[in-house]
Amino acid sequence: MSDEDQNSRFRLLYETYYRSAVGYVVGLGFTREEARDLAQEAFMRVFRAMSTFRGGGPEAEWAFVRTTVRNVVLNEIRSRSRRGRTVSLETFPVEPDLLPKDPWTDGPPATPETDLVAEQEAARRKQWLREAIAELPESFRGALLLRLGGLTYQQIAKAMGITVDAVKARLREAKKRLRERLGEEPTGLDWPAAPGEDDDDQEE
Amino acid sequence: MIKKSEWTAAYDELSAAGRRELGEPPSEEELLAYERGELSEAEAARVRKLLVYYPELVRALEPFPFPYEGKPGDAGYLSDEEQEQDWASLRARLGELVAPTSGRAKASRDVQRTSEPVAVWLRRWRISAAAAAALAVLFAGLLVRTQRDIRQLQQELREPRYNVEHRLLLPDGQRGGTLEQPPIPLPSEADYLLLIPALINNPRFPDYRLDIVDLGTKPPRVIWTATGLRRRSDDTFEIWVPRSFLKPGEYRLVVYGLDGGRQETLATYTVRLSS
Repeated sequence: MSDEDQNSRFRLLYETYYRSAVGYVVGLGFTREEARDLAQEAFMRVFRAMSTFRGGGPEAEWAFVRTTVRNVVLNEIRSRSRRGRTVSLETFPVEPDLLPKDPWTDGPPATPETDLVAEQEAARRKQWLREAIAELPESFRGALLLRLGGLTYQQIAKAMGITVDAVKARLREAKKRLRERLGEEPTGLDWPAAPGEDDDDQEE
Repeated sequence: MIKKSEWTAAYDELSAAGRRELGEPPSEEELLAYERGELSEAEAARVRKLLVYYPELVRALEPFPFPYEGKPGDAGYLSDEEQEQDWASLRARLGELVAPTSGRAKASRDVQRTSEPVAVWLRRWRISAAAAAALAVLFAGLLVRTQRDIRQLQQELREPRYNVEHRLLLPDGQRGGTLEQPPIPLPSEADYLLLIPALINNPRFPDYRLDIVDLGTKPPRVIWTATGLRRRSDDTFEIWVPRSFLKPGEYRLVVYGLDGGRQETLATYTVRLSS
């Protein structure tokens, strides 16, 4: 393939797939700028590999671009994990806080005088919840952490190698055990409905 | 009422502790092999354990949207102007490699290329030649081994058949129950096995392929592959396997749907043959 042909083909690949690549990366929780940067990195790799890529039609080209973008993204996520940074959890499936006032005192928001007490109480509550989750059996804890990590039931099923129904069953069991351990309803999280009931969450 | 910030704090701390305890996230190769069902059960269990603390890696394995259907205003939507800006930026990052495809630009690029140090080109040529030689050796080895396996299989298929056992195989994750499912046991005393993998709610494809992956090797190795499989009206396939072809151990059957250049994993079936 001549340089001119290669350039034309690369431009065509860019025109066809670049928007999808950016949309995919943004969908993973990266910012627009990060997504554009990563998509460019992927297309640089595509260009450099084009001389060795013998084609096979649009499907093969699409698979080639898709694999390259995915590898760049996976690599970036792994690098960030090593550096201790994570992708923002914009899809965190937690209900918004509805209470306009302090939920413990049922009074107005904390004043400077009450800050220390409030901080201690908040720390105690966080530890209490963390310990309750940590004490769950591994399979229930795993499903719950993945859910808290912003994954859909389908994604959790894929990650754990089980069915969506099994994921929901584990989450329901985790909820039941948390309720017993905490002595109160573990509200504030989007739990799956009981079998036979409609899920509010229509993600599946 | 448990507040969002409390769930978030608990999650952040448990996640950080899990990462510290388990270490590095799985590599790209491990993840893709896990997605294709090519890892041994022990390796897959390790990846599953890690993924609990690296959910962003799970998201990255999601299907890629094409064509992109975003609208102006969506976070991932690029305007024509932005796409052009990125093209200019990409060209700048690639330097002169991507030039306008006019004759003048090509001539300019040719002049630049011939002026590059000879040593650089020589080094590139050597690396390419070494890589090509290594690949040639690898493919030759694979070809010899495949032909040997095929000859062995053909020879065994010509032999008289006795004591045939058949097994209906339901896909992994769809055999009922909520906990992780054990491999499907295969009868070890049979001379031949008639394996009947069943598909459940999978779309139809023009063609199908089945691989048998030996989970006992590191890394797991495809020991047999068959294309042109016929999907029967009851959504099953029939695979004849000589018992002697399989050593005692665990194997994974992977059924792929093929459509032109596209390939989709439809189901996996983990089986165990005892000694």
